[in-house]
Amino acid sequence: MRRYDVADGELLRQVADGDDAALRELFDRHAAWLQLRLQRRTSDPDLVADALQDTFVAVWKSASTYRGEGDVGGWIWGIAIRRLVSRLRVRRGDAPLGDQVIEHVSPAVQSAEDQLLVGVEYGDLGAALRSLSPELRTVVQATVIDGLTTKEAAHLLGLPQGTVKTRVRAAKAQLRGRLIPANGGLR
Amino acid sequence: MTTAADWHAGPDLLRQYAAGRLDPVAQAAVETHVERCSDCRAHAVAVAAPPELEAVWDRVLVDVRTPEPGLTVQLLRRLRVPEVDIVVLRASANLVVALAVAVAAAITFAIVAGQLSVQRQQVAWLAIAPLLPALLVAGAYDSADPLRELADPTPYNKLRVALLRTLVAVLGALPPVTLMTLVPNIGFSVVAWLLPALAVSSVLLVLMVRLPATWSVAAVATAWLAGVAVLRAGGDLGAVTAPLGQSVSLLVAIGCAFVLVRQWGSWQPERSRA
Amino acid sequence: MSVVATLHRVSKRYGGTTALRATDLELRTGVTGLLGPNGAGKSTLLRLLATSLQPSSGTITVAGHDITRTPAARTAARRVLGYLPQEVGFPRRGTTFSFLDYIAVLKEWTETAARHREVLRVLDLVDLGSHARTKISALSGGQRRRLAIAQAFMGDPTLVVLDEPTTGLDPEQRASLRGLLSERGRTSAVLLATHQTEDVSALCDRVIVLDGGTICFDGTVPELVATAAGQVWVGSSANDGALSSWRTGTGAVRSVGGTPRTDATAVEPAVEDAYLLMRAHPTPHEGATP
Repeated sequence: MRRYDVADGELLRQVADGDDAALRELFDRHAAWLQLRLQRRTSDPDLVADALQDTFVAVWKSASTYRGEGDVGGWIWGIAIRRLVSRLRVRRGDAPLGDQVIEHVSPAVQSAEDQLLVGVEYGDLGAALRSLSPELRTVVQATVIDGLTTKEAAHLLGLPQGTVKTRVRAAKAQLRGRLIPANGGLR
Repeated sequence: MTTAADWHAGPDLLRQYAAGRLDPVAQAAVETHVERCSDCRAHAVAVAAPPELEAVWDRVLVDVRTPEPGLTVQLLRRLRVPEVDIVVLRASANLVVALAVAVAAAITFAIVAGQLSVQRQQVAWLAIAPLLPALLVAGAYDSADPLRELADPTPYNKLRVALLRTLVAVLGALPPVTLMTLVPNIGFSVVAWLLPALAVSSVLLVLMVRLPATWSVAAVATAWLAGVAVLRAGGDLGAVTAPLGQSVSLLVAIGCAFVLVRQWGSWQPERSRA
Repeated sequence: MSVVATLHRVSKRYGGTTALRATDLELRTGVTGLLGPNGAGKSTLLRLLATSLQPSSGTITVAGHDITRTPAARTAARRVLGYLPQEVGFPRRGTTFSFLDYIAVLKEWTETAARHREVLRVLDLVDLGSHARTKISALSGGQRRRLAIAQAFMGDPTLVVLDEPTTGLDPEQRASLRGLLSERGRTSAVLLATHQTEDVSALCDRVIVLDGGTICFDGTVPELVATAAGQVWVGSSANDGALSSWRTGTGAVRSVGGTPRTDATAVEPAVEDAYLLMRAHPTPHEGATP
C-alpha cells in the first residue's frame, strides 16, 4: 500500500522505529534514480545492484541518524556513493573507474535543451566546467557533485590520493581563472 | 525564458541521461536536480528497470528482517563452524531447561565416575565410560525438550544433533567440575571422565565430515575398545585416569578441535533440499 | 486426486488400552476433517501419520514410502511432511526467526540464503512477516499458534497433518487460516483434527468421524449432514427426549433428535447436529473392525 502523502523525512522516522513498510516506500521512491546515477559511476551492473542493496540496508540501520538537515535524496545519495566506494575497495584489480566514466560519456552535440539546462543549473560555471580536461572534470564530479572526501574519491576513481588532491587544486585554479572576471570569486 | 524554479528533467532527458548520451556538465546538472526534486525522481522510475529493482528489494528485505547474529554466533562463524551446526547449537542452548538438565547430568556423571574409578578399574566400565555422558545428555534433552514433538518427525541426522548437544553440555560442565577438583576428597579424577567423552564426540564429528554416520561410529568404537584392550593386556587400566592418560585425552580433544575447525567449513551435508 | 497416504489394518495399543482399532484409510489431495471426542484416537492417528509413533500392527504408506518398515523410509517420508501437534512447547529464549530457522535446519534446509528466504516466506504466509525479530516470549497466544502453523507449512509438504489448529484463534485469524489450508489442499493432502464443526463445513471436502478408536463415518460433508435429515426441529419448546436443545436468538427452540411436538418444523441440519447424533448412536463404518 503506497503512502503517497507521507514526506520522506517522516518515512525515515518510521523506518527508525522499525517499520519496514516505510522502507519499502522509500525504496519505491528513490531506488530508480539511485540506480541510474550509480550506473553513471561504474559499468558493472552487479556492482550497482549490490551497492543499491547495501544502501537500503544502511538506510534501515542508520535512519535514526538523519537529523532533518537537507534533502533526504541528498542524504541517501551520500550513503549510496559511499556503499559503491566500499564495494570497490573490496574488489581488487579493477580498471581505474575514471576512464570508464569518461568512456561512457561521449561528448554530444550540444542541443538547445542542453544549453538551456546548463544555463539554468550552472550559469557561467557550466561553460567553465566544460573547459576542464576530462581528468579534472571527474575529480570535480566526485568531490563537488557527489560530495566525497579526497580519500573516497581516490577509491572511487582508482587513483592515488595525492593525484586526486593535485587535480582538485588544478581544477579549482582553472575555474577561478575563468570565473573571476565575471563573479566575485570561487570559494 | 524558463527559470530555474520550473525547469525539470523530463522522461526523454532522463532516458538520454540513463543511456549516457549527455555531456558531463549536462549530466551533472541532471543529477544535482534529480537529487532534490521528487517529481523528477518519479519520472526516473519509468526509465529504470523494475524487475532488477524488485530483485534488489527482495534481498534488502531478507537482510532487514533477518535478525543480527549475536557475539557467540559471530565467534562461531569466525571459527568456520557450518551455519547449520550453529543453528542447532544455538537452538539447543535456547532450550534452557533441557540444557540445564544436561549439564547437571554431565556434572553428576563426572562426580560419580570419579568416585567409582577410585574403587575399581573394570574393563566394562572403561569401555562404556566415554559413551555415558552422551547418552545422559541425549536423555536429558529427550525428557526436557519442549520441541521434541516437532523435532522428531524431521529428516535431519539425529546423531549429529546429539553429538553437538553433548559437546555443548560437556563444555558447559567443565568449568564447575574443574572448580570441584579443588575439593580435597574429589580430586582430579572428576574431570577425568569428561575428557574422553569430549574426545570421542569431537572425533566422531570430524569423521562424519567425510564418512557416513554408521562408519564413523564403527571406527571410533573399534578404536576405543582396542585401546582399552591394549591397556588391559598391559595390566594398566589405571592409565586412563592417570595424568598420562588424561593428557592424551586432552591432546586428542584439542587435536580434534583443531582439525574440526579446519575441516568444518568444507562439510557438505548428505542431502540438501535447497 | 492422487493418493498421498494409506493406512492398512493399522492399530495402536498403549499397554492395556487400544487407542486405535484396526483401521483402513486412504488420504487424497484435498482437505479432510477429522472429528471425534477427546480420547477417540484422533491425536494417535495424526501422530502415526506424522511418523512420531509406530503402529502396533498394520502398515502406513506416506508418499509411496512404507514408514513402518525402515528408518530410511521414515526419513524419506519426513521430507514431505508437515506436522502441527496439539501442544507446541516453544523454547524459552529466541525469536520467531530463530525458532523457524532451527526447524528449517531439521527439515534439511542446509543452504543459508535459501533457508532464510523460506523462513521469511512462511512468516509472511501467516502474517507474522513484520515480527521476525520479536522474542517468542513476547508473542500473544494467537501469534504463537500462527508461528506453529508456519513451521508445518515449510517446504511445501505433500502431507500436512494438523491437530486442532484453530484453537485459540479469533474469527479473522480462523478465516485466514482456512484460506491457507484450502490453498494448501489444492496440491497436498491436508488432514485436520478439529472440534470446530464450522471448520469442517467451511473447509473440508471429506470428513471422518472417529469414536473409540474406530471410524464411524467417512464421506463428504453433505453425506454426513444427510444422516441427520429429518431429525432436527425448531419449535416453541424442546422435543421429547431430545439429544440436545437450546433456545436460539429468535426465541424458538432448536432440538436435535427426540420426538417433535406438533408445532415443530423440521429444519436443515448442520454438521454439528449430524455429529451429535452420530456420537449418540454410533454405527461402525464398513471396513473398520471393532
